[in-house]
Amino acid sequence: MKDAHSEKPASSPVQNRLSLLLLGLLVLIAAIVLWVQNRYEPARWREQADNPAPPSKSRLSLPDGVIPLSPTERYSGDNVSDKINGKADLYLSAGFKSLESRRFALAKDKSRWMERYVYHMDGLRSAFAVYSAQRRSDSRAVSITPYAYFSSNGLFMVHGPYYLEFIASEASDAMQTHLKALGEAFVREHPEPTGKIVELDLFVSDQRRPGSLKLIADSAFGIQGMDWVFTADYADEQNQATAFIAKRDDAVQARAIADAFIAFWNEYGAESVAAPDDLSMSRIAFILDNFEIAMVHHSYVFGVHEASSLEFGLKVVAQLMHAIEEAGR
Amino acid sequence: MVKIITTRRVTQIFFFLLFIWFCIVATLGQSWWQLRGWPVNWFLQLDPLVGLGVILATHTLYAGLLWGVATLVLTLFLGRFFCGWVCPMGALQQFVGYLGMRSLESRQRIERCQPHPAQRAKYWLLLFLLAAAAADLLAWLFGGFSRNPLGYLIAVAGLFILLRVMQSRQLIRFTKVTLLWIAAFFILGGVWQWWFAQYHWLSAALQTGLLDPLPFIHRAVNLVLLPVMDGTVHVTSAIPRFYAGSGLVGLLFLSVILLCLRIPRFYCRFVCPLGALLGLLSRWALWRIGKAEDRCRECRQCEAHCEGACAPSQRIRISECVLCLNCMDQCRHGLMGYYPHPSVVGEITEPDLNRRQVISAVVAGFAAVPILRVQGGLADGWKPQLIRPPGALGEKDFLSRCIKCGQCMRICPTNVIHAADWRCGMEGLWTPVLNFRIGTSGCQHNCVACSQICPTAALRPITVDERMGRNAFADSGPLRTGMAFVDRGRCLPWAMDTPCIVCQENCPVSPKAIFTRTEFRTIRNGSVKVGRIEANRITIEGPDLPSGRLGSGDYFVSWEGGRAVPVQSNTADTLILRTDPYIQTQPEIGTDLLIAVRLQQPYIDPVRCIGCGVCEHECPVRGQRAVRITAENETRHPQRRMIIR
Amino acid sequence: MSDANATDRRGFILNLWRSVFAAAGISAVGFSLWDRKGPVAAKRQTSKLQIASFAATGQNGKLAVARGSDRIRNIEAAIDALGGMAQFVQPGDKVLLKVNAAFATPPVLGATTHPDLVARTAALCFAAGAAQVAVTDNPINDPASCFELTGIGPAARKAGARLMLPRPDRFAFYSVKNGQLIRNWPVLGAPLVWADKVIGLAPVKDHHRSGASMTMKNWYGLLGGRRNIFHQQIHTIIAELAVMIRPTLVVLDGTWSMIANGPTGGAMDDLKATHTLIAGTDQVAVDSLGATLLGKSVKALVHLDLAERAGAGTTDYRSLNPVVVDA
Repeated sequence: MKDAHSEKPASSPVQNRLSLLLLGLLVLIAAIVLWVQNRYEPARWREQADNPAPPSKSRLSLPDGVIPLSPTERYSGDNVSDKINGKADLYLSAGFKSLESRRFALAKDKSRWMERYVYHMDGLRSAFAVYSAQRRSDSRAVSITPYAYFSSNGLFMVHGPYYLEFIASEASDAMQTHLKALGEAFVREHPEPTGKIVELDLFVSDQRRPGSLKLIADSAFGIQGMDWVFTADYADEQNQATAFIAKRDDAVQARAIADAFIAFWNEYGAESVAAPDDLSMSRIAFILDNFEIAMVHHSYVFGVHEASSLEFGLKVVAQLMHAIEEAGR
Repeated sequence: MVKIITTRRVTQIFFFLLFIWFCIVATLGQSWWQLRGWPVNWFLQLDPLVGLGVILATHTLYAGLLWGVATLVLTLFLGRFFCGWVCPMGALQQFVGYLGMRSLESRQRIERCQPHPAQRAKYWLLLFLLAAAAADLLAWLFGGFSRNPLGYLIAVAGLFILLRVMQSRQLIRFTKVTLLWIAAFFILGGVWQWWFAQYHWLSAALQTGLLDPLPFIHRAVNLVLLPVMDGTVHVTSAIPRFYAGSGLVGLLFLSVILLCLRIPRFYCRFVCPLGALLGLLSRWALWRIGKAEDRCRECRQCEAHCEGACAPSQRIRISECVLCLNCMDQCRHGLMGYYPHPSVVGEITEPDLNRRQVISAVVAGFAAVPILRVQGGLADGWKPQLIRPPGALGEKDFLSRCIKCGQCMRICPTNVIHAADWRCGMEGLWTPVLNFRIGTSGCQHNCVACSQICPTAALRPITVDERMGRNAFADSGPLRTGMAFVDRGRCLPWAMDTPCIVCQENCPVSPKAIFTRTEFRTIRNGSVKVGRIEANRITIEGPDLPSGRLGSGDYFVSWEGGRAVPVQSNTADTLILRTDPYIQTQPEIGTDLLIAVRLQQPYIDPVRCIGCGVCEHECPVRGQRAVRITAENETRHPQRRMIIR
Repeated sequence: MSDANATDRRGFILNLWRSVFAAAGISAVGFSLWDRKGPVAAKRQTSKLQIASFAATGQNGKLAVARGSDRIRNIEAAIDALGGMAQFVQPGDKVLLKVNAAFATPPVLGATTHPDLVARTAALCFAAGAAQVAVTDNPINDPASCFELTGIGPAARKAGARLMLPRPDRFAFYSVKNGQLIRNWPVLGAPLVWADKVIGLAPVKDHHRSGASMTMKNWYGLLGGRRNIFHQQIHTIIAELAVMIRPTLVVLDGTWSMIANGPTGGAMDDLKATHTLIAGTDQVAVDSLGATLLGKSVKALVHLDLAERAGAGTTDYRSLNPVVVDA
């Protein structure tokens, strides 16, 4: 760095030049490190949700006062259990395609946030099945779509093939307003045909428990083969029963379901009960002090499950029969 | 005008901050302060002792460790620049040493910076640690005799002749007897290795990480400093992180730093094996600190801040000089400088060692590992509680690579990797072990961060596909870190008549590795008589029932000739059965009733279980868990297979 | 001044070269050992071991039964009935006797191959011109004490045969062709590589897990590693062993048979004087015939059926027209 035999010690200009050189080197190192940190493959370290959502869909026109808090996470059938763990089976058995989740927060206060889950299902019925299977007890109807309700801190709805959950970090009216705005924004962004599920109209609303309409995608009442069955709960002061309806391709298939239904209870020791004259085609099983009734009309199989009295059960069945006949006209 | 001493300080601060920054960003995530592509292992990679140790123990130099070559090469030209300018451990000590000397008089400072005979200790440590790592290499060399006896003997003869020639040219200072000893050593070693071929009498373990300053400071920051700081400010983790086995790390680090108040750069001078390695090389450095002219007034001011305690006013001890350049700055006569020639008053180029010390340290190093291995920790005495992260190599290969830096423990997103203590074998001190009681979950099976960050591939770099046994790895199946066992004496449904399927619910494997079998079991004092009946309300005679506890849906009442009826609720002496106005068969007064609980008892499927520990983490028996992972069936040791697959 | 300058410069250049060379050396070592990818999954141990067929030419499907209470006379008579040891051992052959020395129990308990049988068979081999005879097994208990306490070690030495103990370096990884269980499994291969002929010497024993332990099960003692996991599929492993070893000859010693509490036995009461010794080249046939000594049917011993279907021999021993002699 220095001529060995100079009279003076390493002189200041030399030190200065060397210093500047070294400081320049530090700047270079810092620049390289900064450049290097841009090269990041997160998937190498931990599995990422699949490809990031296509930009057109992710560019959501957010309602006022709401900002995104996290990037969109996408999950496929293979890894959806990473996000929702034990609940995954419910979705998978009902025709799950993908899940996108994303957090949003209030622009004013980021500690108040919401998470949006968009479950893309096979279709309207799939979406309705998962929607109805996990209906919260403290629900309050809301008219964003035909199938939508609020819980104290969440908004749940079906829109076309999408089942959506919006969960807020707190239960408050203000947050509900924002949830609703998010829900409406989604509907605007996704102009899907607002299809209707015809079977649901077959459940007469008289004595029907509000919010009890359900579509069970897989093994209703634990009975193999009873897939895609609609149910609704009926009750009066003393009695209760769960009505069910399923449509099959033809009467033979419908008959097979009814047979399986009755056979199931018989296997568990049910006693057969004679059908009354006006519903002579029905088959009735009595088990654990409940009545199980099944009937077939054209391609519909319908009946009641756990009717607490035979009379009430038959009344509900008659209502269903009537509704099916009405619809057939 | 910028003084070089200022530049040195700026450089040290720069590298120290960069080091701390790398420690902070070793957090899995994509924010600007999280992992991204930051080269968080750079300091460990620059540390040539890491690379040299791995070379000795494995005959390979893993990926980024090549940076160590750059450090060595620069040291050959510049001397111990790494110690004085780059090393964050050195910078920290220098700062604390400065605080400790601030109020001292010049005379006292000079006294504290004098060379001490104990400075040779670091060379002993270096030789000891390198010898311990090199045993396999030695066994391989000896094995040359078995592979090709003639070639081996020729090679030994060649070595002898080479050394003899070097000796006669006075390039080395060996006596003739020493040369004969060396030749005899190789011949006897070769014969020994051939004769006792089936016994692995020499075995290597990489233990440099115990004392190597960069793994040391990484360990201290990762396992102690950051968790302590973050417990209050929550930058890198929302939840406080804990590290079993970190206490000793923290106390040692604290001691070293505090000692610097009394002795500047305590660790560098007496302990640091990296400093010793670079010190041995710096004797050949092209540029070195020294005096240009012999007109010194012996004021010794140059020694008042001498970080390496290398006595620059006299014959400078080149191997101890850390290039702090304080002597240049202190000398009022401009005598001290950094020259491409030795100091005019001469210099001491070699460390203060004699042959006996060198041989003792090396022999001790070779002997230490076989002594530890006699305990059988790598044979049938393997520790079932030693559950390594998913990418871990087989234990022997693992111990040939792990430098105990704690990077895997730092990066683990669930805080499930911890530093092992003595119980996992002395060799395994501070190596990564999974502890499912601490952390936010078990080992997430879609995450391979620890194996990606590992600077030495002791946790080999695996992909998520390999870990989960998908796609190209579908045949080999998922990597298993161990296996879960249900402790039926502690498990609630097995031992306590209490329904619980938490482990089964949380099992992340698909299909689940935990399944249940249902059993109805009469509860304690569950055999009672019907006293009175009003509709579905039965007053019982017999011991008191647990009030209000039987209405959970898991309890049933049965009697002879009746069906099992679920209990709706109860008090100490009444049972209310599930509402049923149509109830037909009713127990009569005086009938014996059995109150049973429905239990779903967990079982492990040994083919499915990957040992991720989620079940152990979630188990509601919080102390000694009722379902626990042990290292049985782990993939890294095929011989620990429990079942035929 | 200029002189000193010149010396200095020369010194500097010398030092420069030294540093450059050292740096180049370090870099060369570093780069040559550079491993960019890191280690991969623990390498599957590949099977290097080759196990030849030890069958003597033209001796397929031979079976002889000697009936008598004297073990030595039995073996002599049975070998005679097969045409003499010269049919199986050629002059200069190295013969391996695979005994059952599984337990460190005295010969009288019948849990191991009887030393008299070992000694006599070795003597017959030598008489036929064998250059060397070795005795091997990988016992369950400590090998050295097993060979001593069973009397096999002393008997072998007396007959001039050497012991091949299961030292770690004598194992090699082996895979049975189309096998499910013996895949890259450590097998006591060195004695098999060494030998020209292999003779299996096994006692007839009841076996708790497999029903019977006879000549096929005897090859289990060639397995190393944690072989007890194979007890999970005991019949499959026995059948694979029968495929693995094509012996020159197997001798099933039922002079006394362990009919209960096998395979260890432990009491004289567990033994029964069945007074039969079977020798033959078809191990499946030998064991099928041996099953009758235990009062078991061929169908009850699943491994016999599996071995037959794997092509190791026939369970229909009658089809081989066994020669029955009284000794």
